Amino acid sequence: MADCSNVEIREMLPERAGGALSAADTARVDSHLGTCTRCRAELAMIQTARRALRVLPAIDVARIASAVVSATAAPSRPQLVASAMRAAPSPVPTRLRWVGWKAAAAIAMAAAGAGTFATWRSANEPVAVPNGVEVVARAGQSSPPTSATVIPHQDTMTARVPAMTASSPRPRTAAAELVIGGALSDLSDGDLETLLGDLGDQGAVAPDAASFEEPDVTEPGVGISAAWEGL
Amino acid sequence: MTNPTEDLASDATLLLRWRSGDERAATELVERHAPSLARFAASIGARTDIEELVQDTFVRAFGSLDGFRGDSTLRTWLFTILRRLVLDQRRARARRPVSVPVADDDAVTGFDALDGMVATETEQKVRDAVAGLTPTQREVFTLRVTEGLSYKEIADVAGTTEGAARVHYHNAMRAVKEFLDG
Repeated sequence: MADCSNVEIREMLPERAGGALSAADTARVDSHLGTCTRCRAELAMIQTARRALRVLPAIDVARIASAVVSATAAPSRPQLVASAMRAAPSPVPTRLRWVGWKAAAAIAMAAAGAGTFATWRSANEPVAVPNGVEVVARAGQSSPPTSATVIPHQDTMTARVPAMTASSPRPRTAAAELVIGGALSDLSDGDLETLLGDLGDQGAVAPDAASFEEPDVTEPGVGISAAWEGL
Repeated sequence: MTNPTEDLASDATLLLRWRSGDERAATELVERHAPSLARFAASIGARTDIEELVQDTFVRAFGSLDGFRGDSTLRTWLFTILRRLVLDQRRARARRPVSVPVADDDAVTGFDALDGMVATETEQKVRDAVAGLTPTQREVFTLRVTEGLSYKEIADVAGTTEGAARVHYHNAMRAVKEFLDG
């Protein structure tokens, strides 16, 4: 059956079904319904759909209300609001995520640096071995050695590597200081800033922070223009 | 046409009371809007954790009332937040290799969670018809028919235009009618 051509009336049918029309509009719609079988059929379908679709999924509204009240606080107590928002299992705000990412990158880089340094230092220091041979690294390497030559020796086996050449100095960065000097938690805020700066200089920075930006869902209608496709 | 003035005033009054520290006002707001939010979550494919999603929606909304500009209704704002949470949840699950991602085509309606509900044959046919809509049509149809949102409000919730919302609604209506006539 074709739709009624009275678009204005048809547009009001959902509100008519929900009882949301003013008295005047209700009278207009009802007057039309008296003569239009197509609109009556559409209204009947809408009413059926409302009954069919308004079935409530199993939720405990009282429990939700109680949880929400305890998890939030009136704005007059902003510190409680902040803590409630932290406790909520909702996505972490973009800025916090970015800081966390940088800290994770710093730790990862520090760990990698520590491994490299440990390898380099152990290769530079004599290492006692039990079978009476001497291990000498190949000469002429301009970077921390990756292989060594084993030479028989009477007493111990000692690993020797050439000193770092002038062409291969490792930049002394905050990251290096961290590796040598202690843990991340020992750093002051300033040190951490320097460290992050050094990491950034070495190409260890994350992609542009802007690419991590997500719309603030608490602002209605903001940043969800592509959301149709998301469903 | 739509005249939700009383609800608007009540919501505004309750918000005011809550901002001044009246926790009962928050409870009242939750009781008023939670059922609609739960239905909407189910209609756009949330199958589990609906209660948690609704709760998170209120926590986020109440925790950031300063960001509520008041140029939309509280209800529209809540729908917007919930919709985003559902999308985030779906994306997060899709990233988890051990989980079963909820694809768009799988988002159906959540009506399969409505065990124990007695429905007439006609109502069931309407559910089937709505389940056969595209995700966008289903969302718009649900917001318009079930929740009574205007096209403007639907556009605010889904970040689209009134015109697009209207087109989706009428396409959905046509599809449902064809399904029922067939």
